[in-house]
Amino acid sequence: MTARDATFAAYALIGVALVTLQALAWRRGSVTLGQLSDRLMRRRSVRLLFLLGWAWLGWHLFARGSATFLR
Amino acid sequence: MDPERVSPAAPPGMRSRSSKRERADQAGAPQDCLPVRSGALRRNQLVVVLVGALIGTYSWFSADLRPFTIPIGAVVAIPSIVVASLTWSQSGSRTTMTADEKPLRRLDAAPWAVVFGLLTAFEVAAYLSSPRRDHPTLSSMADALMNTHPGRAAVFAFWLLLGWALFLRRASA
Repeated sequence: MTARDATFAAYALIGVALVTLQALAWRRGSVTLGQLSDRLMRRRSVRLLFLLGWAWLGWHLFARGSATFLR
Repeated sequence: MDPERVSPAAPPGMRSRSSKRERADQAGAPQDCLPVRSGALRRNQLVVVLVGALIGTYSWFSADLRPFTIPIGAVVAIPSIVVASLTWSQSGSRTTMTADEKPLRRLDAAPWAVVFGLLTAFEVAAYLSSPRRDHPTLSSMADALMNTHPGRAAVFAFWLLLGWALFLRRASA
Protein backbone atom coordinates (compact mmCIF):
# COMPACT_ATOMS: atom_id res chain seq x y z
CA MET A 1 0.00 0.00 0.00
CA THR A 2 1.44 3.36 -1.04
CA ALA A 3 1.28 6.55 1.00
CA ARG A 4 -1.28 7.86 -1.47
CA ASP A 5 -3.56 4.85 -0.94
CA ALA A 6 -3.19 5.15 2.83
CA THR A 7 -4.13 8.83 2.68
CA PHE A 8 -7.25 8.13 0.63
CA ALA A 9 -8.18 5.27 2.98
CA ALA A 10 -7.86 7.54 6.01
CA TYR A 11 -10.07 10.23 4.44
CA ALA A 12 -12.62 7.56 3.51
CA LEU A 13 -12.57 6.22 7.06
CA ILE A 14 -13.20 9.69 8.48
CA GLY A 15 -16.04 10.17 5.97
CA VAL A 16 -17.62 6.87 7.00
CA ALA A 17 -17.26 7.86 10.67
CA LEU A 18 -19.10 11.14 10.00
CA VAL A 19 -21.96 9.40 8.17
CA THR A 20 -22.19 6.75 10.90
CA LEU A 21 -22.28 9.37 13.65
CA GLN A 22 -25.06 11.24 11.87
CA ALA A 23 -27.07 8.04 11.33
CA LEU A 24 -26.63 7.07 14.98
CA ALA A 25 -27.68 10.54 16.10
CA TRP A 26 -30.89 10.30 14.04
CA ARG A 27 -31.62 6.83 15.35
CA ARG A 28 -30.89 7.51 19.03
CA GLY A 29 -32.22 11.04 19.06
CA SER A 30 -28.88 12.48 20.13
CA VAL A 31 -27.30 15.62 18.70
CA THR A 32 -27.00 15.67 14.90
CA LEU A 33 -24.44 17.74 13.03
CA GLY A 34 -27.15 20.22 12.04
CA GLN A 35 -28.33 20.64 15.64
CA LEU A 36 -24.76 21.01 16.84
CA SER A 37 -23.96 23.73 14.29
CA ASP A 38 -27.25 25.50 15.08
CA ARG A 39 -26.46 25.53 18.79
CA LEU A 40 -22.87 26.61 18.29
CA MET A 41 -23.98 29.43 16.02
CA ARG A 42 -26.24 30.95 18.63
CA ARG A 43 -23.15 32.90 19.60
CA ARG A 44 -22.49 35.79 17.29
CA SER A 45 -18.71 35.24 17.39
CA VAL A 46 -19.07 31.58 16.33
CA ARG A 47 -21.50 32.56 13.57
CA LEU A 48 -18.95 35.07 12.29
CA LEU A 49 -16.20 32.41 12.36
CA PHE A 50 -18.37 29.94 10.42
CA LEU A 51 -19.28 32.66 7.90
CA LEU A 52 -15.64 33.61 7.38
CA GLY A 53 -14.70 29.94 7.02
CA TRP A 54 -17.40 29.32 4.44
CA ALA A 55 -16.52 32.44 2.44
CA TRP A 56 -12.82 31.51 2.56
CA LEU A 57 -13.64 28.01 1.28
CA GLY A 58 -15.38 29.46 -1.79
CA TRP A 59 -12.57 31.92 -2.42
CA HIS A 60 -9.91 29.20 -1.93
CA LEU A 61 -11.59 26.60 -4.16
CA PHE A 62 -12.87 28.79 -6.99
CA ALA A 63 -11.28 32.23 -7.03
CA ARG A 64 -7.78 31.05 -6.11
CA GLY A 65 -8.21 27.40 -7.04
CA SER A 66 -6.06 25.12 -9.10
CA ALA A 67 -6.47 27.28 -12.20
CA THR A 68 -7.73 24.12 -13.82
CA PHE A 69 -9.00 25.82 -16.96
CA LEU A 70 -5.74 27.70 -17.46
CA ARG A 71 -3.76 24.52 -18.04
CA MET B 1 -70.83 29.99 -0.04
CA ASP B 2 -70.48 27.56 2.83
CA PRO B 3 -68.39 24.58 1.65
CA GLU B 4 -70.29 22.29 4.04
CA ARG B 5 -73.50 22.92 2.09
CA VAL B 6 -72.10 22.18 -1.35
CA SER B 7 -74.38 19.77 -3.19
CA PRO B 8 -73.03 16.64 -4.94
CA ALA B 9 -73.50 18.45 -8.24
CA ALA B 10 -71.12 21.19 -7.23
CA PRO B 11 -67.90 21.78 -9.23
CA PRO B 12 -65.09 19.29 -8.46
CA GLY B 13 -62.87 21.93 -6.80
CA MET B 14 -65.52 22.68 -4.18
CA ARG B 15 -66.18 19.01 -3.52
CA SER B 16 -62.50 18.30 -2.93
CA ARG B 17 -62.37 21.20 -0.48
CA SER B 18 -65.29 19.71 1.40
CA SER B 19 -63.78 16.21 1.44
CA LYS B 20 -60.49 17.61 2.73
CA ARG B 21 -62.39 19.11 5.63
CA GLU B 22 -64.13 15.81 6.30
CA ARG B 23 -60.79 14.01 6.33
CA ALA B 24 -59.44 16.60 8.75
CA ASP B 25 -62.45 16.04 11.01
CA GLN B 26 -61.92 12.30 10.94
CA ALA B 27 -58.25 12.68 11.80
CA GLY B 28 -59.13 14.91 14.70
CA ALA B 29 -57.18 17.83 13.25
CA PRO B 30 -58.37 21.42 13.61
CA GLN B 31 -60.73 22.32 10.75
CA ASP B 32 -58.57 24.85 8.91
CA CYS B 33 -55.28 23.10 9.65
CA LEU B 34 -54.94 20.90 6.56
CA PRO B 35 -55.61 23.48 3.82
CA VAL B 36 -53.23 25.93 5.52
CA ARG B 37 -50.56 23.23 5.88
CA SER B 38 -50.88 22.01 2.30
CA GLY B 39 -50.72 25.62 1.08
CA ALA B 40 -47.54 26.21 3.06
CA LEU B 41 -46.13 22.89 1.81
CA ARG B 42 -46.83 23.86 -1.80
CA ARG B 43 -45.18 27.25 -1.24
CA ASN B 44 -42.15 25.54 0.33
CA GLN B 45 -41.87 23.12 -2.59
CA LEU B 46 -42.03 26.03 -5.02
CA VAL B 47 -39.31 27.86 -3.08
CA VAL B 48 -37.12 24.72 -3.08
CA VAL B 49 -37.55 24.29 -6.85
CA LEU B 50 -36.83 27.97 -7.51
CA VAL B 51 -33.78 28.04 -5.23
CA GLY B 52 -32.52 24.78 -6.78
CA ALA B 53 -32.90 26.19 -10.29
CA LEU B 54 -31.18 29.43 -9.27
CA ILE B 55 -28.26 27.59 -7.60
CA GLY B 56 -27.91 25.22 -10.58
CA THR B 57 -27.87 28.01 -13.14
CA TYR B 58 -25.55 30.22 -11.09
CA SER B 59 -23.14 27.32 -10.48
CA TRP B 60 -23.12 26.24 -14.12
CA PHE B 61 -22.18 29.71 -15.39
CA SER B 62 -19.75 30.37 -12.52
CA ALA B 63 -17.91 27.12 -13.27
CA ASP B 64 -16.98 28.49 -16.68
CA LEU B 65 -14.97 31.38 -15.22
CA ARG B 66 -11.20 31.24 -14.85
CA PRO B 67 -9.55 31.40 -11.43
CA PHE B 68 -7.47 34.51 -10.64
CA THR B 69 -9.83 36.77 -12.60
CA ILE B 70 -12.19 39.51 -11.45
CA PRO B 71 -15.39 37.77 -12.68
CA ILE B 72 -14.79 34.61 -10.59
CA GLY B 73 -13.93 36.80 -7.60
CA ALA B 74 -17.24 38.59 -8.10
CA VAL B 75 -19.36 35.42 -8.42
CA VAL B 76 -17.82 34.11 -5.17
CA ALA B 77 -18.17 37.48 -3.42
CA ILE B 78 -21.87 37.98 -4.35
CA PRO B 79 -23.27 34.93 -2.46
CA SER B 80 -20.85 35.57 0.41
CA ILE B 81 -22.13 39.14 0.82
CA VAL B 82 -25.78 38.09 0.40
CA VAL B 83 -25.47 35.30 3.00
CA ALA B 84 -23.54 37.58 5.40
CA SER B 85 -26.15 40.33 5.17
CA LEU B 86 -29.09 37.91 5.51
CA THR B 87 -27.41 36.22 8.49
CA TRP B 88 -26.81 39.53 10.19
CA SER B 89 -30.29 40.83 9.51
CA GLN B 90 -31.71 37.90 11.49
CA SER B 91 -32.77 38.54 15.05
CA GLY B 92 -29.65 39.51 17.01
CA SER B 93 -27.91 36.77 18.96
CA ARG B 94 -29.95 33.58 19.00
CA THR B 95 -29.53 32.79 22.65
CA THR B 96 -33.09 31.67 23.34
CA MET B 97 -34.04 28.00 23.40
CA THR B 98 -37.34 26.45 22.43
CA ALA B 99 -39.21 24.46 25.08
CA ASP B 100 -38.54 21.05 23.49
CA GLU B 101 -34.79 21.66 23.20
CA LYS B 102 -32.44 19.89 25.57
CA PRO B 103 -29.34 21.75 26.71
CA LEU B 104 -26.21 20.68 24.82
CA ARG B 105 -23.93 18.52 26.97
CA ARG B 106 -20.24 18.17 26.27
CA LEU B 107 -20.68 14.42 26.05
CA ASP B 108 -23.15 14.85 23.14
CA ALA B 109 -20.69 16.95 21.18
CA ALA B 110 -17.61 14.84 22.05
CA PRO B 111 -17.88 12.28 19.18
CA TRP B 112 -18.22 15.09 16.65
CA ALA B 113 -15.27 16.93 18.17
CA VAL B 114 -13.14 13.77 17.97
CA VAL B 115 -13.95 13.08 14.30
CA PHE B 116 -13.49 16.71 13.21
CA GLY B 117 -10.31 16.89 15.28
CA LEU B 118 -8.99 13.81 13.48
CA LEU B 119 -9.94 15.27 10.11
CA THR B 120 -8.17 18.55 10.92
CA ALA B 121 -5.05 16.77 12.19
CA PHE B 122 -4.94 14.55 9.13
CA GLU B 123 -5.47 17.48 6.74
CA VAL B 124 -2.67 19.48 8.40
CA ALA B 125 -0.34 16.46 8.30
CA ALA B 126 -1.06 15.93 4.58
CA TYR B 127 -0.62 19.67 3.89
CA LEU B 128 2.79 19.69 5.55
CA SER B 129 3.93 16.51 3.76
CA SER B 130 5.22 16.21 0.24
CA PRO B 131 4.99 15.34 -2.57
CA ARG B 132 1.36 16.37 -2.92
CA ARG B 133 0.65 13.37 -5.16
CA ASP B 134 1.40 11.00 -2.29
CA HIS B 135 -0.22 13.15 0.39
CA PRO B 136 -3.34 14.69 -1.14
CA THR B 137 -5.22 17.33 0.85
CA LEU B 138 -8.96 17.87 0.65
CA SER B 139 -8.29 20.88 -1.61
CA SER B 140 -6.16 18.86 -4.04
CA MET B 141 -8.85 16.17 -4.15
CA ALA B 142 -11.46 18.84 -4.85
CA ASP B 143 -9.21 20.20 -7.61
CA ALA B 144 -9.14 16.77 -9.24
CA LEU B 145 -12.93 16.66 -9.05
CA MET B 146 -13.11 20.12 -10.62
CA ASN B 147 -11.19 19.16 -13.74
CA THR B 148 -14.41 19.03 -15.73
CA HIS B 149 -17.07 21.70 -16.12
CA PRO B 150 -19.88 19.60 -14.56
CA GLY B 151 -17.59 18.63 -11.66
CA ARG B 152 -16.67 22.25 -11.03
CA ALA B 153 -20.33 23.30 -11.23
CA ALA B 154 -21.29 20.51 -8.78
CA VAL B 155 -18.66 21.61 -6.25
CA PHE B 156 -19.78 25.23 -6.63
CA ALA B 157 -23.41 24.17 -6.06
CA PHE B 158 -22.32 22.16 -3.01
CA TRP B 159 -20.58 25.25 -1.61
CA LEU B 160 -23.73 27.36 -2.10
CA LEU B 161 -25.91 24.65 -0.52
CA LEU B 162 -23.53 24.45 2.43
CA GLY B 163 -23.93 28.19 2.95
CA TRP B 164 -27.71 27.89 2.81
CA ALA B 165 -27.73 24.91 5.20
CA LEU B 166 -25.45 26.60 7.72
CA PHE B 167 -26.82 30.14 7.75
CA LEU B 168 -30.19 30.47 6.02
CA ARG B 169 -31.98 27.16 6.67
CA ARG B 170 -32.97 28.15 10.19
CA ALA B 171 -34.23 31.53 9.10
CA SER B 172 -36.35 30.08 6.29
CA ALA B 173 -37.73 27.21 8.44
